[in-house]
Amino acid sequence: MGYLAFDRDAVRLLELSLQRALTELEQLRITDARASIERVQIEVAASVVAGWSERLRAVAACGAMEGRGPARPAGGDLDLALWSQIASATRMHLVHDPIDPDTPFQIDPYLEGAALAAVLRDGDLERLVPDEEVVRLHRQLRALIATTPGRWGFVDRLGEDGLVRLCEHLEARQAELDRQSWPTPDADAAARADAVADLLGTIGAAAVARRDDGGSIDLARVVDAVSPGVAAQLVAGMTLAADELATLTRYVLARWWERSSSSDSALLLTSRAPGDVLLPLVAAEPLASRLLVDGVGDRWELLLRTSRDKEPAEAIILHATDPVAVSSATAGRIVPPVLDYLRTRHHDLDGFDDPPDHSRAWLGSLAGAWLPEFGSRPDAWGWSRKEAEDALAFVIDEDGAIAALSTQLTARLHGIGESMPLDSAGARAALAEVSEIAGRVNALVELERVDDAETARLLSDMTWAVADVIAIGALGLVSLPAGVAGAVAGHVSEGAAVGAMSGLQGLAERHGWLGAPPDRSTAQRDLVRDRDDLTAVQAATVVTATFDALIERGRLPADTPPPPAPTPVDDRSDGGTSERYLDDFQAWQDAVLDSGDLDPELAEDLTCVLHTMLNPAQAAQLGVAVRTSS
Amino acid sequence: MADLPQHLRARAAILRRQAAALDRQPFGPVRLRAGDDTWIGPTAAAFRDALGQAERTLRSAAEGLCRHAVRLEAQADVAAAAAPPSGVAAPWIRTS
Repeated sequence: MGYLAFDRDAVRLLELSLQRALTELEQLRITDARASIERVQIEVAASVVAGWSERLRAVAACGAMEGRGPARPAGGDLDLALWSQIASATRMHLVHDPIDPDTPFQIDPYLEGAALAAVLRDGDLERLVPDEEVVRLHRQLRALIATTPGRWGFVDRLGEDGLVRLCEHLEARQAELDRQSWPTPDADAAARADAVADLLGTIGAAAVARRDDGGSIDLARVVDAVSPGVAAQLVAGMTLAADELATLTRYVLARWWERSSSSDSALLLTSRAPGDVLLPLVAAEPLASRLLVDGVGDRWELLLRTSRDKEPAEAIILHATDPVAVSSATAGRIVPPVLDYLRTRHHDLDGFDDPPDHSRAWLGSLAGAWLPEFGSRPDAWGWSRKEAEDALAFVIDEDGAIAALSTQLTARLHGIGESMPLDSAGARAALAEVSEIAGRVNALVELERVDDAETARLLSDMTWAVADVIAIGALGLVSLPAGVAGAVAGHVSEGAAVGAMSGLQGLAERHGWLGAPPDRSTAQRDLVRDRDDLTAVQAATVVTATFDALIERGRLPADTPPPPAPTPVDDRSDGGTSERYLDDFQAWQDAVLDSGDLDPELAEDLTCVLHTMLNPAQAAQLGVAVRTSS
Repeated sequence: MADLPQHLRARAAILRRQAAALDRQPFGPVRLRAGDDTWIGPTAAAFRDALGQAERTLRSAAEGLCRHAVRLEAQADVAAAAAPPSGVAAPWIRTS
């Protein structure tokens, strides 16, 4: 239904001026034979406009609206109320329009914006904005605020108080609709509640756009006056710079947290918890993520407990600890306290005790980005070795984390090879760190829980990846600790490295262990044994590769007896393969030392090589595990 | 006689005056009074659309009238060039 607002006197003057124009055209008598077409053109133009003369007179006399009557604003019709407002503001008469088109008609945007705001500010919102009007109002408002005059008129006239009033009405409607959708889903109510959210977002967009245009609206006052839930939806509609997005997000989440009881996890059941609304927006911007993490300080609950969906918060923390963007010191202010918070606090979340699998995978990614800090450089984050080991043990508590960590380790291995020569000092140090962390992960998992085939397979993949690089590194024995590398680097050839690789594979295949561990149906005892065997093979491989390289380079006599191979046994009541291998290695080393083939310094280096992959403590842990499972 | 240069020029002058009258936009005052101050709504918009269409038609007519005037003036020039030199009276013009 269209409406016509008019000033009767102005319409009369319009009609008079139209008559004068038509008279002027009539007096323009075109008689020249050549101008016959132009004469017709002028007659057509005059007749088109002349048809309006009578209509104008009728409008001025309200005759054209015969049978329609003057329109009277009534509750429940936002459009009519809007037009009534326009008519009132312009001191016009308001009638149903004679043409009555269904299509919306855009008047001066400022006038429309101001009129709409006046209606929403002062009208009976219960009746003017029922649920069925929300979608149309949203569409109208979105078109209106796309123009500068439209948003100026709307926001300036609505004011902060009007904004708050409108938001409170919408919040009440949305809450009612949400209640209708829970616990039994109601698609219609949910769609209506979503429409309210869209409208709130558009109102937020209008407010911030007006502010950015130089308007005097105080956004902070509005955000502070409405509930955190509504504030989140308003902020979600705003196009904000990273710093303001982070600041407002932190403020809204903090207010929400303060209002809600920390034990009231039911608040998280709504998908419109502020965290679920705002954190995805922050997570999409690395800078905003870093600023938000800075802003929350030690209040990790604002990130980790204000949303149902944990992924955005996890992405935010990953952005804030991205090694490409932040230093180890910065990450050190985030990762340890986050792990600490999760270890000590997540268990008291009723209904949310167990972080979902992806959270564990996220922990793996979080730790995997800073492997040295978990391994060889715990002091960089103020950790003792024990604290770093505890943190790592917490991280790898689940398969998802091990998978993520394995991915990070593999990526790191590739990164080392691509970013620097393998025989460089940097590569040596980096590879040593990777092998150390791989060893720690192995040891921790073996200690805690080698009862899962999938986990064992993941570990196997990771271990072999490390072993491969180390064998390749035999070009310069670059993966070995600095002391070892200093002793033997430069004394091996590429051929020796190839030989080492062949030896590695051959050794593994001889024992039928390549491709292990077995599938899930295999008994736990066998899995433990396989882990034990694999670890011994891995260690023996590195030792053999190093030995081959030293023979090749003439550092050892060619007839030096080869180092022992691991010997798996059925009866492991006296110890596992790893333990036996360490004993065998020691016996071999003692023998070649006695024979004079091996000098003490080189023997020490070889021991370091071995301990890179298998140290006595690790072997002892494996031994306990196999004895327990036998 | 219709092709006499002065006659052709007289026709052209009339057409130019008429074109100038159209160029002054007879509907200009109407348009000024047809805005949101006077009325707002679909009917008002339809009226403004009709007025705009009429104004475009009048502009087209004005351009046509000018083109005719130019052609008549060109014809007058040709006719004047073909006329006898001044001082030689045409046989049908009395000189006494």
